[in-house]
Amino acid sequence: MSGAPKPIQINEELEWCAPAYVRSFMAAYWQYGTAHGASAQASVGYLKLYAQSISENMEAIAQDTADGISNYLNRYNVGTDNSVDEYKIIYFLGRSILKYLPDFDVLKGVHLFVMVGLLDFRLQKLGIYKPQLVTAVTSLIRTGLSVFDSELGLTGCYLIFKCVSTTERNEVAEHLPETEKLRGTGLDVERGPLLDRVTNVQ
Amino acid sequence: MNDAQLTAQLAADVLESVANLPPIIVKTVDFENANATNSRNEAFVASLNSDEHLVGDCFLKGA
Repeated sequence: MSGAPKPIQINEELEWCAPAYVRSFMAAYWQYGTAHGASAQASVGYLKLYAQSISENMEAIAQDTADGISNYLNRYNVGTDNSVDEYKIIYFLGRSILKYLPDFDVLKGVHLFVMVGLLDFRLQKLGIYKPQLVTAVTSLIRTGLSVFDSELGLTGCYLIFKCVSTTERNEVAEHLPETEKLRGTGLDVERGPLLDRVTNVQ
Repeated sequence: MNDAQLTAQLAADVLESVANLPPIIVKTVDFENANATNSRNEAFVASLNSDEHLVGDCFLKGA
């Protein structure tokens, strides 16, 4: 892809994704709260605080989301058409909202559950079910937000879900000749013990 | 107002705050060989608004 830089307006994406976070937060908090004995009153209180934090900081959150996506696209040399895919909007909006939430671990933790839940929901709509992946990432969140950040960094969580979503396309590689599979890996492409070992890995 | 109504109201408030935004722009530089990424999937966006129960089910795994 080449040509002039393409500025992309993401207001329409924010219009579906920001309310989705609010709706999903309540569902997520009910489940979290049920497991941890939280009262219904606390759940409603957190929901109001959550939505208020987003509404009052929407412009800053939106700008931060755009900056996050811009940095990602330019850092990884990824072009785009005239809109941004759902994984980026869900992930980068989620990371931006996190910055503007009050400093309550429960609020931030459940918010990240929501982010992972929305990414998982996107996969499910493609017929891809990865419960172990979701369990692993949410376990990381429960361990602590700093651990989540240190393990997955700025874009790791996004990249995992995005790459899983393209698994079906990757299956094409299974039908390539062995030499094509290993091209660019630095491994000896001549068949031998090493190649047998590599290709036998499940 | 029950919880579902409250949630809907708060989601509408957030939507209104989005509607009042100025244009929010993602900027890309000019690449010679950039990899194309996917564009928005309208079917998913529609399902996100209609299958709220399914969105909630996602979190059973992590709660």
